[in-house]
Amino acid sequence: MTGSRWFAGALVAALALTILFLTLPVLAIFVNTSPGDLLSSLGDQASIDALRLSLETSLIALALILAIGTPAAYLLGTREFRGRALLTTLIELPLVVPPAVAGIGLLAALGPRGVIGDPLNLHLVLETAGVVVALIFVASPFYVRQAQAAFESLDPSLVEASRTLGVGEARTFLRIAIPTAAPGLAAGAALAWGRALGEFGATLMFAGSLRGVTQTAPLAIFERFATDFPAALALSAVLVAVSGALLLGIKLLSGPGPFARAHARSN
Amino acid sequence: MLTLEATERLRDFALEVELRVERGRCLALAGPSGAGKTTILRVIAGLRRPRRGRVECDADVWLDTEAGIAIEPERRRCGYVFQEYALFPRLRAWENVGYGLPRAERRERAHELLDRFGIRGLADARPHELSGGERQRVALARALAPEPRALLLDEPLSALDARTRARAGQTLASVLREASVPTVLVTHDFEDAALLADEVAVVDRGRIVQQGTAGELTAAPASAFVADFTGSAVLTGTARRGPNGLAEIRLDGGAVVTSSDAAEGRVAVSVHPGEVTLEPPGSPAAGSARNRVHGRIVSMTALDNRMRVGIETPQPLAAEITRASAEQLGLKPGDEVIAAWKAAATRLLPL
Repeated sequence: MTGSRWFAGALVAALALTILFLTLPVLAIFVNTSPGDLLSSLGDQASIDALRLSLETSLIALALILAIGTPAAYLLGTREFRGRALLTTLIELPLVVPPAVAGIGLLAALGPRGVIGDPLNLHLVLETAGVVVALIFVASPFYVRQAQAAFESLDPSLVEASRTLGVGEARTFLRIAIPTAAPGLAAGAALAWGRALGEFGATLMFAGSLRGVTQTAPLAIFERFATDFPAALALSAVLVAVSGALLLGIKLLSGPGPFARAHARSN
Repeated sequence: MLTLEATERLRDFALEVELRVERGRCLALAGPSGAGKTTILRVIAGLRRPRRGRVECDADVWLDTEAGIAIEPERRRCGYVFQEYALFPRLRAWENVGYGLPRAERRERAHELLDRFGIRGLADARPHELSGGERQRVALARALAPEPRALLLDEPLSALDARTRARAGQTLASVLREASVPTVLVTHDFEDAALLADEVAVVDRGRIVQQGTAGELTAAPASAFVADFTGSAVLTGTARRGPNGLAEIRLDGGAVVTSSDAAEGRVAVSVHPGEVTLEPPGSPAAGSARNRVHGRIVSMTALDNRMRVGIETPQPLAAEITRASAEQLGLKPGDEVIAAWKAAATRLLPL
């Protein structure tokens, strides 16, 4: 056996182990869930409420993240200015903050006696809006970082070409920068959405776990976990299926990704 | 008419240029890469604001740093062909061409232009499906579509392989002939500049060191740099006053040549390859070529019907002769030859 074949074998083994470890828990959920449990879980009003709330809040959060995060990432990704590295690091901060700490931080800032929450008289705790705020806090860095990288790899001469053709900066952003960076933006959106759908700690600390109002699917799973393990498993299966489908859908919608492009005609 | 005056700090040197181009004329900015040529184009287009400068197109002031005027690039309407063409990757060829046009006339006018460039059949192709030459045409059509006030071309041929270059060069030449606006073309290749432009400005380290027609530059380079860049061989030596009012130059490494230029001391000796004839060694001096230098052929490069012969004298010299006479003389690398040229074809440039 030659050295390179040994190495190729090691690479394959490492990848196989990675895939196995990452998919096993997900598969186990389905293995342990009988179709009957799945159906009865779907018939359970509390489960349906939790799933609907999860979808609603995560979609609203995603929309806000896209609307504000995209231009912010464009600025970070295409302009050189003092303090850019510092700003990038600040945006990454929520990635390393434990969710429980994020929840405490949100309470301290936006809670009823918070730095901003008190003077502005905000009512977010035990409100659906509070869930959205928590989701945005934990999920937006995933999108903004990815979008920044996508805009950084955008060829600046495309933007310049657009401008010499008589199209101003704002319309160039919409007509050239966003469509060209779209695959990267979609990947970031999928990551952020996935993170928002699974969010647990910050939501629990900041918005609470009030059925129908702030109890998203992960919180509902946690509530059932102690009392009704099969029901928790069934709801988990549904959540995995929904988020898996969303992830796949966004990948397909974002058009030819790097995988498809490798097969594109080149002459 | 397009006029530009600009001063700007670049990384290693200062850019300081002044140029003017009449309507329908093409000026080539030629020089080595990193000389600041592209920066000049970017200043004209408004993509870069120089420290100090003034740009005018006809009666419009596009930039006047003293008066605080700096018109945005989208309002200058320069047709800019970028070095790698910068076609929008997700748009079809016709959408690229029509990008700068009002929506109502976009489709029709874009197809018209593609037709003019002979690539209407590729209207629906995306940039990655096009060859280099096709991309260049799309880029030209896109730049011309909004009827620009000036045309700026950055190395329009350098992204092409040798085979496509000749044809793309012809396309470009016909575009430039028909263009009724001032055109500025950037190239690192003197031959491209000579072929495409009415006038050539040689740019070195941020300055225009000489400007004139290509013929003027080759015949009378103002500096060793220009002589070298235009393709003339540049030898070094020491000049002193000789008989008959000619200068006598002892070349470094041996050999003495004469020149009708007057100079003393260290000089660069510029000889255009077209002025040099080759003879077999030992042949008697004939004709009016006073300068006869022994050398050995080190390279032979075919250029159309001509042959450029590189000779080690021991300083490098080049001769350009017809391929027919190269064959007649049976020249091949390694052969000993005599390179001969007139004193009047020997330019001296003080060092």
